Amino acid sequence: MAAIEAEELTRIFQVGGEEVRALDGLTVSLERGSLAAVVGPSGSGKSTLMALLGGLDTPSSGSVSVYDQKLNGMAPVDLAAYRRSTVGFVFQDFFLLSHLTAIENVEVPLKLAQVSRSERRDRANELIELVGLGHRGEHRPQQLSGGERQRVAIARALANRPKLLLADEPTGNLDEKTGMAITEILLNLNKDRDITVLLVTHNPELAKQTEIQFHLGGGKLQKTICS
Amino acid sequence: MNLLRTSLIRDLLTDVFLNLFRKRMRALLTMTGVIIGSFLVVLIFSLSNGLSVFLDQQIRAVWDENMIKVRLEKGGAPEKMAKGMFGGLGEPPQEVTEENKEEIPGAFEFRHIPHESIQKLKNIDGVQEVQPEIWVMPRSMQVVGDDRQFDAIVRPWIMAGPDMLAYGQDFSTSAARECIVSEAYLVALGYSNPTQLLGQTLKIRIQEDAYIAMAGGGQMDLKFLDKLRDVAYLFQNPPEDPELTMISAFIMLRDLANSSEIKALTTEPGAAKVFEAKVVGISKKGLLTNMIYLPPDLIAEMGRVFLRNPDMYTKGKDGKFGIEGLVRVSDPKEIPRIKREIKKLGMKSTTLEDVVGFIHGLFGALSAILTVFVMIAGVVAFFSIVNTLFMAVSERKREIGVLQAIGATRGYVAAMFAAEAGAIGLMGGLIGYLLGTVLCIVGNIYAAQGLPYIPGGNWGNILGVSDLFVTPWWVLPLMILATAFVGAFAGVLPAKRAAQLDPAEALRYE
Ligand SMILES: Nc1ncnc2c1ncn2[C@@H]1O[C@H](COP(=O)(O)OP(=O)(O)O)[C@@H](O)[C@H]1O
Ligand SMILES: [Mg+2]
Repeated sequence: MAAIEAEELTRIFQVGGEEVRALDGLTVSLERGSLAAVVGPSGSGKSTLMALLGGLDTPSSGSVSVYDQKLNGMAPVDLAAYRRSTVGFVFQDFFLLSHLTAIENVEVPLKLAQVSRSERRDRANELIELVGLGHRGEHRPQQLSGGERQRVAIARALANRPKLLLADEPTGNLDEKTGMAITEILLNLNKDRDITVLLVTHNPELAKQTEIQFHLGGGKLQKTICS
Repeated sequence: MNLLRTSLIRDLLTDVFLNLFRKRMRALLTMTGVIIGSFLVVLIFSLSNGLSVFLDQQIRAVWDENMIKVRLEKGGAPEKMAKGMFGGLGEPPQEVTEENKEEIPGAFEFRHIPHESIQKLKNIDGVQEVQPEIWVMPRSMQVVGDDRQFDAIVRPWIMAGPDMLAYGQDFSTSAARECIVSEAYLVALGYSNPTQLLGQTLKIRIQEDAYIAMAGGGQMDLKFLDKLRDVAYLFQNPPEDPELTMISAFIMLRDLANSSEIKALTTEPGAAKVFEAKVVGISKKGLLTNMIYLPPDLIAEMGRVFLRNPDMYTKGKDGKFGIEGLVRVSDPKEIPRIKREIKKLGMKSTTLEDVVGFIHGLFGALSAILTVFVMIAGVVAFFSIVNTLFMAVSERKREIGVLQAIGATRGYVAAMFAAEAGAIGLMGGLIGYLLGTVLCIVGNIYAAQGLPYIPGGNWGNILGVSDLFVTPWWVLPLMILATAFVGAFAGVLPAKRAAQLDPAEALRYE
């Protein structure tokens, strides 16, 4: 069964009167539980694809459906609910809320999902533990290293038990060794928790560890490699 | 929708306050307008309320709620002259008629309330008694056995009424030689306990002084001048028959000589007459500290001496009631009806409510003017909150994007900023309220201690009666509502902008 089905996705931006086709008729699909990578040069539309799949942006044309939820034409409120419960985002820049501790950051999506206070604490602790930061839960982002921040971000992405994890260059800002550790976590999540993982990467080593690699270029799918 | 869930709202509000705390300096500065505004509100309303309560009490000290003051519609309202004196400014001269005669200073005539009218007043249902209004300014009061003399004003007790009694009791009869004195005399006499004064006898000295009767004008009957004119006319235009002239002149001069006004001028030179009265009660202290209240007969007697007119206050063969009457009613609720009946008798009436209403109106107007300033502060506060919130939205674009990415609805984002704006307003309001309250408390302490730089004035003795600043109960809830509303309203546009932010755009990095 398909986790992602995107057909003829096109996303056009208007930049100073000119059209930029960030995505240009891209069609991809991905089975549930799979681990896939999106690779391609900078500006090839990788982030745009992730935004469309995650319901952060809407395509100019084409359709997206994730776990049988058709995103096209979804009301903003439902789209928010979709982002809250079906997908989890991991970004290159972590994007943690700097005024909150690690635990509190993980609690934010739970708050938005109206999970009770005590359950929130429990789940956040559990997730912080899972990403190997049990001892740093009360620390704020600026007291954490890059790798640790990304672990917090992953824990946050997992808070509402998403079915699909979208990671846009999760190791892009990390040194090789730290990046490997983060990769490890993502791979394990896919394996142990049956979460579909789609990650954008420039790192061929990382890409090789995935089952499928989508090669993007100029907003189009150049090739799909299954390993 | 799901924004209405209480848990979500509670979490949102917690976050809002945390967010404010993150930029507490800026939040505080933004609040300045609100703080000043609400501070002013507290001060203005507390002061005007306090003064109003205070004056209210002062008026009640000399004006009982069961009491109506009455005067003749014509010949009893010299204040109408104000219009005659100043009302002509910019208007063509008005024709003098029987109706507007009262407004023309040169045409005004004082008239005593006729006895039939007094009788009719007494017959009105619900009227207990009618007394003349009597103003007596004694030379002094003195406790028997004490050398010191103190100044005093003597008033009919009917004016103050039983609720002004602090200690002791009411008069035994209307003819009793008794008095009720202001509590302030305890201070003057150096007594620490009211019982020291109760039961003592007072000497109240009244100066006989005819010229006050003349200058007072109000007590002089104009018929007296007619008599004088008649005599003068007789001698200017004597009849042919000298015998008739003699007889007429004799009769006229006899009438003139017997008029109370001439009697007042021709009896012994004025001397102070001493009246003795036993202190049976002590009245609550008030702004007028030198009050001595008396039963009707005693004060009328004093009044006759004071005016040197034995006919005043319904005594003597030409007994005159006076130009003002004091009507005591059994139930203040009946006053509107009784007022209407008094009007039918050609008299105008003034009640406690009229006087207090006038003063409250005055303070209401004052508050209204100051409220304009408060509103200006409100507008300034409004725009400063709008400005700060727009700043916060553009600073926190990325945070908004993240929140949306992890599932916040646009409504949540909007509510977050609106609530933040509301919280700025609310906190500003509360801080202003607190500051205002503190100032009120300090002000009250100072007022109670007296203001040393007012020469000779120790206000503590008076203001001890009531506080200078009395915050009305509704100020706090009003403030909470108003400031939160101003804040939240100021947050509408920024919140809208925040909600419309494109998350994908906010989360782009290059
Ligand atoms: N919001 C936007 N406005 C204008 N142009 C955009 C926007 N987002 C992306 N683009 C353009 O679309 C193209 C693809 O961008 P992106 O998806 O971020 O590429 P990648 O992530 O592969 O580097 C780029 O040329 C980029 O400049
Ligand atoms: Mg990118």
